[in-house]
Amino acid sequence: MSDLEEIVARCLQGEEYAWEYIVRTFSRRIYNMAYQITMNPDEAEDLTQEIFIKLYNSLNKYTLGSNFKVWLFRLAKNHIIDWYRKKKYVNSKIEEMKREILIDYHSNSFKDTVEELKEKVRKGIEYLDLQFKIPLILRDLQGLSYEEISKILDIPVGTVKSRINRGRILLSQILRGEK
Amino acid sequence: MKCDEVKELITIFLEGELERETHEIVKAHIDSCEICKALMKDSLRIMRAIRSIEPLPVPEKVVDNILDATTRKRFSFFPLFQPQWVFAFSVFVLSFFFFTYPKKALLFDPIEFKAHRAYSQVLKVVTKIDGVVDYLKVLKFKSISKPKEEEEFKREKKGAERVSISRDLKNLRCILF
Repeated sequence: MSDLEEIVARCLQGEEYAWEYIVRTFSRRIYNMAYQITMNPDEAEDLTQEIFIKLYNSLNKYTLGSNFKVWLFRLAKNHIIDWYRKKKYVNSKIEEMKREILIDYHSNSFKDTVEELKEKVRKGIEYLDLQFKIPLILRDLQGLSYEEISKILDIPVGTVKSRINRGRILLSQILRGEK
Repeated sequence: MKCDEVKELITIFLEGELERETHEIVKAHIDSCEICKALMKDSLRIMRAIRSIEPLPVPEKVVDNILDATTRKRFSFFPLFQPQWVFAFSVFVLSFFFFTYPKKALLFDPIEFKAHRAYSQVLKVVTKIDGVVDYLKVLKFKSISKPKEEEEFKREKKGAERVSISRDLKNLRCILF
């Protein structure tokens, strides 16, 4: 049994320190995932809290030995997608952001510093469709393997690779002003 | 391989996640195609930019809120003993008994009748309790004295037999002499 699984087992036995360890270890990753999808720090904070409370209440459903990280990310992904659907994410905000990116890109396209490009990429990810955005975030920002992403999203590895590749190319096109 | 097919694999190729054979084919195409080479450079730049985005620190209040909502604040019975809940519960219990009591008319009798009824009910209960106490005493006595009783009974039985035999003998003697 891995260290993480042992901690989860202790948490299931009711040890508060184990639960606190899980919260402190994964809250940053979940917060960043939520932030990258919502691009709103307040929403990201709320979603992170909701996800962890949901995790706490459903931890007894976790089967020890299966991958806890994958299980947690799947739970987070489902929660964020539910939120996204309920919210009917504001298109006007995306359009506004798209315009902002394009103006920035055309005015400064050849003078971009690394920091500026990072900021544009961060905003550009927001413009991506959810089916490309989530795998891209999980791969490039969360550093998960293709197999893990495949399990989280419940789709074949080939599809994951294809979506991530397409997402990166779309992002590149957005930044070039082609989309 | 065509440019569109390479485009579908380009960033996976850059990550080295393609199968060896496919990797070689894509590489050969990129070496010979300026458009795909430019696409590769652009994709590489974007990938580097995405991966260089540092994760934001999670605000400490988020962690605190999570811990407060889960481990630190557990369910306690204490709130149930707050006055408003106690009052609500009392009202519920009293109204339940009032509405489900079959002889509601008796509730509006004069106080002397009610006192009399209450006294007779108490007497009944006391009598029942006495009955139970007596029964328990008997049970206790039986459990303690049973072996002794049996022995005494056997002894008495033997004695009675002896007496009856001696009486028979006496009778016989009288008859004979």
